[in-house]
Order: sequence, then structure tokens, then C-alpha cells
Amino acid sequence: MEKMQEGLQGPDIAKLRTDAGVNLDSQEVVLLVE
Amino acid sequence: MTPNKKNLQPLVITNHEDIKYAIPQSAVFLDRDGVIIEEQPNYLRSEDAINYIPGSIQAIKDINDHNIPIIVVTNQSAVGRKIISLDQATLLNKIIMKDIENRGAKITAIYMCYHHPEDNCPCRKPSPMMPFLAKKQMNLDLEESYFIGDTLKDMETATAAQLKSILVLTGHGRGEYKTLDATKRSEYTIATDLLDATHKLFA
Repeated sequence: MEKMQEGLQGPDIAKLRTDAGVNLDSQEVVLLVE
Repeated sequence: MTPNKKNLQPLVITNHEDIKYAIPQSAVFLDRDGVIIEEQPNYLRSEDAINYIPGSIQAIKDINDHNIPIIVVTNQSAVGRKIISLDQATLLNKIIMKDIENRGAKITAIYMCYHHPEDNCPCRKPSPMMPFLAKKQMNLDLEESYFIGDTLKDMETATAAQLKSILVLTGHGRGEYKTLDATKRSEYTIATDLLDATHKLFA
């Protein structure tokens, strides 16, 4: 789990997550498509 | 069906309409080419070229036996590149699903990004969007789910979607593994193929 949290903080992964609709503060996902 | 710039969402193919689990369900996400079927040098274009990787159907059966849904997440840019039509790509996926069903195993759904890489769609792996969409549509628990793929792009998708992951050495896997240094290799769970990966899942 620690490894996963570290991975999420990397800039490339963070960008993938924000581009996919993740709010990095709340970690909530708002999908742009349904 | 012709893809266009306004239609940048993935296509979902399923024989099991409107599956939404009552409580969050763990799942196994699989890449298709190089994991279930042999990678084709210039995209899968016809039914004749569908060759199952030895053990992959048995692996799907083993996952089915644990009542865990299997979701295939696949990039098929051959459509965006106009090598095959969206209808052809959809039909090939339906044939694979039916073929697997005829052999006593089941894939719950296939999420397919069919866009050209330059379309800048939100769904093309390594984007985690397709797993996110599957989570929303089916009520899946991603943190208790796995992604099994043959590329580092698949592993990135898994990390970005908070899925656990296994890199298989079929398809592009062996080549991808060779590019990793010792530190990176230790970060991944490696399996020789999908059947070996399922053994690791249920060990």
C-alpha cells in the first residue's frame, strides 16, 4: 500500500489521474464521460 | 460507425447488460493483446488471426470459479488509424467473448479505446479512465482489484487507477521487462503468462 501511495504522488501518475478527472485534493473522481 | 472528434469516449461491449453489483466488487482487469490472445504485428484485423495464448482460457475459467468479474481494457487504435472500422473492431471483440464463452469461460465486459493517439482522448491507456468508468458503471472496488497486462503502460494504468498489478512476460512483456533496472523489477509482480498470474492471484 505504501508503494502504491508513493506511485500516486509521482508527477506522471498524478497527471494521468487529473486528466482522467481525479481531484487530487479530495481524490474524488469526476468522469468527463458516462 | 465512424469515430469522430466529438466522440472521445470508450466503447463498452458486454453480453451481460446493466451489471451493477449491490456492494463494491473486486475484479480482474485484463489487457487483451499479448495477454489473452497473441499480439499481431500489425493489429488484429480478422477473426482468422485470433490465436489464444496457451493457458489463457483456463486462467479466465479459474478467475470465473472465484466469482470475480473479468473486465478487458484494451487500446485498439487500429480504428483511429483507419486500418479497421469501429464495427470490425467491435465484432472481433464480440467474437472473442463468444468464443471464450463457448469454451466454458466468461468475460464480463470489454472496454475499448479505439481512438488515434493524437485524438487526445481521455480513455487511451495509460489513462486510468476506463477502469474508473467500469468502477462507476458496475460498482467495483478498484483497490481490491488487479490489472494484468504485458506493457509498462498497463502497469501505469494500474497505478493511476489504484489497482494492484501483474506484468506478464507474454506479448510485449519480456521486452518490457528487459528495459527495467533491478530496482524497478523489484517493484513489479511478474508472471510468465496469464495462467501463472492467476496462480499468483489465488496462491
